[in-house]
Amino acid sequence: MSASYPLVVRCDLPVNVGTVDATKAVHVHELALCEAIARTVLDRVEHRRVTRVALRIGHFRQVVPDALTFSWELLTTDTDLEGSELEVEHVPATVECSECGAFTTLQLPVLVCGTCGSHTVTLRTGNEFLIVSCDVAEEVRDGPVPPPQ
Amino acid sequence: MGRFHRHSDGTVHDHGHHGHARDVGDHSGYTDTGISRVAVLEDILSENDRVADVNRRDFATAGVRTVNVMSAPGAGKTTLLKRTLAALQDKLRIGVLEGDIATSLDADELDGLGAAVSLVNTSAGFGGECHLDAVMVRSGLSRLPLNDLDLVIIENVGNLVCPAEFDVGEHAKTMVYAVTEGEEKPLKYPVMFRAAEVVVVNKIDLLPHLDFELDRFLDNLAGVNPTARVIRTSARTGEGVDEWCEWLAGIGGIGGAPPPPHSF
Repeated sequence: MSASYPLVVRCDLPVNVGTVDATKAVHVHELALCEAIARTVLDRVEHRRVTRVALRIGHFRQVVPDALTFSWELLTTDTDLEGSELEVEHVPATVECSECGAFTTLQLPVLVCGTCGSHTVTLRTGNEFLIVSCDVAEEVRDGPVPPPQ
Repeated sequence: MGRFHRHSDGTVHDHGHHGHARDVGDHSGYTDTGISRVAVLEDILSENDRVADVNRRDFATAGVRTVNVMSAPGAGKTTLLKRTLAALQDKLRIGVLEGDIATSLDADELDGLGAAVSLVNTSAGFGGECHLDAVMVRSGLSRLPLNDLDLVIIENVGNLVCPAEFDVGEHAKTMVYAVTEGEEKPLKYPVMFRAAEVVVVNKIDLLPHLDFELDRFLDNLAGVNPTARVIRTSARTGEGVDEWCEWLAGIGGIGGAPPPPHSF
């Protein structure tokens, strides 16, 4: 990978957008996450070609979807995962209030009930960090498909 | 390029197989497109978390407690650590695992303070990893005499984002925050502020010279992490460092509170 890539460098503020040599040290949080995703997926697909990887990521995770998909392209070039699409389902952050029972969808990471203002709340969604599934290309076979083993 | 890498013949593999059952997908429903869906349903960080569990078991076997210290660059982790080692070296047998992207500058600072220091340069990771993950910590642990230690302090790479995501098997996550960083940081970097059991508010000797509103910061912190313990320090003057050391000593098994319960 000697080519230059436009890259969003996001690990430390401020966000810098620039062109960097991908072989140089670049601190991208999403790149480390993509490495982990790639290892897990490759472990599951038995060298079949992967066309799509579905993720579910909660609102309270510090992940920038664009940086994630860009890192994925960068990392999977010339691998079995090349060309696969990374699909990110965003899960809103919701809390359940222990005082009044109301559910609140949060934007800011402050854990507070939107109905009664109580801070005694439990996070119900928003922390997800899941690889849901991946789609793989099957070999074309002649004759009847064998029964599942 | 790290554990996930490509060979010259184009094959890609990793060296971290775990031998779990392979899900080979739904072969009963070949579709017209020749695409089948493989259910994964695994946490993105599950591989890291498995190694963190192994680290945890090793800590338990050796009877050593571990504290992960995180912060932004320049918050004062290393200065605080020097004071800490000086204060505790006669009370606890301490090991330090020093995470640094490329240099040994911080590890050199800690030399001669009675602690066993293991340096982990993270630049071997893809793109110069900006955090310590469980595998990197594992590699650094091999250079510490765990059986002869009471406490291992893991000084993470200076960064407010990445280190918070990675469980390394520690008993407690802590962070050092400097009052020069501004009041709004808990709202901007909630993952780390939420993960920390103790937030050391450092550089308080500078407060008279700053517009920083400590109460506003504490409100923001409480909104993100209502149970965090706040310890105010100046690593430069030494103010408040005793309270931090007392907490650490409690974690390490002497004085103060008994070590907190843990889940393994």
